[in-house]
Amino acid sequence: MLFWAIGCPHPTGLQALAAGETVAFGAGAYAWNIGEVNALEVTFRGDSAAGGYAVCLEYDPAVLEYLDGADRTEGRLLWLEGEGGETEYGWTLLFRPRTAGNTVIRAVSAEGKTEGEAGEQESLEEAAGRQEGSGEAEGEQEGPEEAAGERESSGETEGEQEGPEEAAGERESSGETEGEQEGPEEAEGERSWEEAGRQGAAAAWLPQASVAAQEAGSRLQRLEVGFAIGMEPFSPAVLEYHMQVGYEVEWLPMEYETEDEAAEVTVSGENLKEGGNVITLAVRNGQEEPVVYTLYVERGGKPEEVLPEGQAEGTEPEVPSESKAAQTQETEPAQMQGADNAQAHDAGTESSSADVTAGGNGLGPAAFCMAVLAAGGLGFVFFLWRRKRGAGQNGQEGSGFQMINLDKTVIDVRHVTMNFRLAQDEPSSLKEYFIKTLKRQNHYRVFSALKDINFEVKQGEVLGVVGTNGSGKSTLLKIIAGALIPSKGKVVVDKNKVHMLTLGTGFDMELTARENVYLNGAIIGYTKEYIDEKYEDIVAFAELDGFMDERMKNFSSGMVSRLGFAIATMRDSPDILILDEVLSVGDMFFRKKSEQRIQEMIHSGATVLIVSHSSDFIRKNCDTVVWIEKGVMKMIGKPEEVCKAYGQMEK
Amino acid sequence: MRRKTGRDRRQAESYMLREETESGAEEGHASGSSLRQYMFVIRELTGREIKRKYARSYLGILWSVLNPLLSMAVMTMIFSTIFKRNIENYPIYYLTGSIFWSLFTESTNTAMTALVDNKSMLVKVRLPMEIFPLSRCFTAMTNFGYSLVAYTVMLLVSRIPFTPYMPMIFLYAGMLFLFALGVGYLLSVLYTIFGDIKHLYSIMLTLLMYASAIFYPVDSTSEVMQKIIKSNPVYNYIACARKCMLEAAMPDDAQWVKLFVWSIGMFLFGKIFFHKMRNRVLQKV
Repeated sequence: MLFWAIGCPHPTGLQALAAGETVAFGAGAYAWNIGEVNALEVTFRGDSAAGGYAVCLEYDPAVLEYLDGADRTEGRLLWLEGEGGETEYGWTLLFRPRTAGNTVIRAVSAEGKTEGEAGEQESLEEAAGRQEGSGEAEGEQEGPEEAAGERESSGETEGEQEGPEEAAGERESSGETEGEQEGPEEAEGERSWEEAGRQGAAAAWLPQASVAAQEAGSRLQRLEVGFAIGMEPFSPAVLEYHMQVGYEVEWLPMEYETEDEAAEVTVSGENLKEGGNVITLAVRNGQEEPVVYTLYVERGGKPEEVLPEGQAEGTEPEVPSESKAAQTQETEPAQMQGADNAQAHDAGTESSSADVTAGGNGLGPAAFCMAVLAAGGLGFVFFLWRRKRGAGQNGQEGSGFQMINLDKTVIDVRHVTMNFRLAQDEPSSLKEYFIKTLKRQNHYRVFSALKDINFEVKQGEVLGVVGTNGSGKSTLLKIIAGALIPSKGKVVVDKNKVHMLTLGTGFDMELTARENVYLNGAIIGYTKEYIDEKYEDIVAFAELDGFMDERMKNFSSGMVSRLGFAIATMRDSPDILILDEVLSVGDMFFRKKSEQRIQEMIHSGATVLIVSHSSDFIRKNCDTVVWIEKGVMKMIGKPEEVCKAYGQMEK
Repeated sequence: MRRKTGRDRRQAESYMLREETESGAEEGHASGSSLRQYMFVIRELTGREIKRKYARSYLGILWSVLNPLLSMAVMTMIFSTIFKRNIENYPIYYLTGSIFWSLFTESTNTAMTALVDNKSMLVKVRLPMEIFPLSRCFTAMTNFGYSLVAYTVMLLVSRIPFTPYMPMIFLYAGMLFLFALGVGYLLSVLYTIFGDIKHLYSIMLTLLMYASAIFYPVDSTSEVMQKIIKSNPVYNYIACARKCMLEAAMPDDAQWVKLFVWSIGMFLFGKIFFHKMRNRVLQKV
C-alpha cells in the first residue's frame, strides 16, 4: 500500500515541462493479474531532434517478470534506446506478474543524445520520488541516492565526476537487498549523453507507474458514484478517489461491478455526514488479501444563502473553480479550510468544525466566532426567505437547495425510489383483517418499482426512457408529472409547466364522441372556451366528421385512439412535455400524421420526456437516453450508445 | 432548428440561479383560472355520471322524477292497507324522508367507489383527487333536484299550503350534502384499501334506514328506540325537513346544533382523512 500513498504521478501528470526530455507511462497506475501478460506503454519525448535517446527503467523482478520490449536489460534495469532524428519514441514493454503485491516501475534516467557531445559529460539521473530508498545494506551512500525528491543536480554532477563507480556495485547490492531498488545507474562510457534533468525538474519528468499485481478478478471493473463532483476517472488500478457532494446528498449512491462475479465487495457504509467522509470498498476474491478502494468524500455544508456568482454550496459540475479544486484535496485539510474561510462561506466553516478529520485549529478564535455569527445571521435570513417562498408551494419541494448550473435544469430527479406495498396474503374478509391487524400479521411484500433513480434534464433537452415492460418507466413519468409521490427522494420540477400527454383519459363509451371531447378536454385541463374553439380542428384531425354524435361504444378502437390523440395534442406545446408511449395509434396513415404532430411538439423547444419502444424514434429524436431496467437505472447517455446496449441486453 | 434555439436559451440562462418551483404560472390558452377549470371538470364529470346512469333507458332523466313518486305510491299503499295506520299526509311524510335518504345513500354509495372507478385517471391526470367523490355527490344532488320536482307535484296534489318555512329545506339538503360528502371521502379511501367495506356499508345502511323513521312515525316506537332514532344524524336532517314542510316550524336548539356539528364535523373529518391517506390511495389503486 505504501506505494499508493506516495505521489504516483497522475496519468496526465507529466505536464509543465518547459524543455528537455520527458518520459511518460501510459497510465500512472496499473492493475495486473498474476500470470497474464501485460503491456506497459512508455513514450519518450525530446526537444532536440538530433541524436538518439536512452531511457532507463527499473522494475522489481521479485514481483514482475520482464518478458519483452526493451532494447537491453541489466538485472532490474531495462534500457530503451532510440537513434535518429525523431522527437518521440514509444515502446511497449511486456511484463508478467509473479506474485501478488504492489510495486513500481520507474524511470531512472532519460537522456537525449546531442550530436558532438560525446564524452563530454555523462550523467545518470536518479529517479524521482523514491519511496524507500535507503534500505541498502551497503551504507556507502553516495551522492546520487538522496532521499525522495530532494536531489540537486549539483550533487550529482560531483558524484559523476568521481566516476561511474557506483553503478555496478550498487546494482549488486540492490539485488541482494531483497525487493528494494536503487536508483542511479551508470551508462556505458562510450556514449555520451546529455544530462536531461535540469535542476529541479527531475522529479517531475521522471515518472513512475504503480503496478498492483493480484489474483485475477479481485478488482472493480466499474465504479460509478452518483452526485460526485470532481472525482477522478475510475480505473481499476487506482485505489483512491476524491470527490465532493452537495449537502443534500445524505448517502452516496454507488454502482460497481467486479471483474470476477464471484468477488465480494464490502462497503464500509454509504451514509455521509457533513464534512469529510471516508468510504472504503473492499473487494475480496476467495482467500486472498482484499483490494481496498478508498473514496474521500467531502459533503458540503448546509446551504445557507445564495451567492450569485458561483460560490454557493454546491458546485459547478464542469468547471470547478480553483478554490474547489483545493477543497477536493482531502489530503490538505488546512488548505481546504483556508479556502472555505477565504470565501467567508459560513456553511463550509460549520461543516469543517464538525469535521473530525480536518483540524479546525488553524483559525483564530475571534475569526471563528465571527464566522459563526455571520452564519447564524445569514441562516436566519435564509430561513425566513424560504418560509416565505415555501408557503406557496404545493407538494414535495422542500429543501430549497440552490444550484448554479451552466444549463438550466428543469427536471431534477434525485434518489427517487418508489415502493408499492403488496399484501402478501390479502385478508379475505374484514374480520380476518382486524384479527391480523391485532396480531400484527399483516405481511406486505415491498415491491420497488424504482430504486434510487437520479438524473437531470436540462431545458430544451429531449430525454428518452427505454426499458423492458414493467421496468418502472411509466411510474417514473407519473412521479415527474406529480401524479404519484415517490416513497423516497424527490423530483424538483415546476409542476405547473409539466404536461403529461395522455390519450383518451376518462373516455366514457356510453357517451357520444362530442360529449367525450368535452369531458376528456376538461380532464386534461382545457377550458370550455378552448375546446369550443378547437372542436372543429379536433374532429378534422381525428377524421371523425359525421361520427361525433355517435356513442363511442360504436367506434372501433382505432377511432377511439384517434380521437384521444387529436384531443391530447390539440394544444400549444407546454414547457415540459411527457409522452408515454403515445405513438402506436391508428392505421398507417394516421400514424404518420401523428408522428409528425409529435415531432412538432418535441421540436418546439419544449423539454420532453419520451417513453417509447421504438428505438428508431428514440435515436432520431432524443438528446439523451435513460435506460431503466427492473427499477434500476442501468445507463444514461447518448442515444446511440444506450440503445445499442439496450438492444444487446436482449440477447 | 430547435436545437439551436434551445442552446441559445441555455446560454442566456447560464450562471443564472435556478428558480424555485413556483406555482401560479398558468398557461394562458389551455387552462383559465383554476377554480373555473375545477368547476368545469366537476360539471363534465357530473354530466357524465348522469348521462351514464340513464344511458340505456328510454325515459332517461325522467326516472329521477318517477322513481320517488312510484316508491311513494307503493309505500302509501302498503301502510294504508296492510298496517291500516293513518298518518296525516303520509305521502309527504314518506317522500320527505325518502328523498333525503336517497340523497344520502346515493352520495355515499357512489362516492365510495369513485376513486377505484377512476383509477386510470387518478394516476394519469393531475387533478385533485377530491374531485371524483365530489362529482359523485354532485350527481346525487342533481338527482335530488329532480326528485324535488316530484315532491312539488305531491305538495300541490296534497294541498299543503305554502309556508315561508318551506325554503329551509334547501338549507337542510345542503347540510346533508356536506355530511354525505364527508362520509363519501372517508368511504372512498377505505374502499381502495379494502373492498369489503362495500358490503359492510350496505348492511350499515339498512340499519341506518330503519333507524331513520322514513316510512313510520317515530312516536309509534318504544322509548329506547326513539332515543336511538333521534341520535341518528341522518334522521336529524329528515326530522328538520319534515318540520319545515309539514309543521311549518323551525328545528329546536338541539337539532340546530346537531345539524351543524354533524355536517361540518363530518365534512372536515372526511376531507382531512382523505388528504392524509392520499399517498396510500395512490399506491394502492
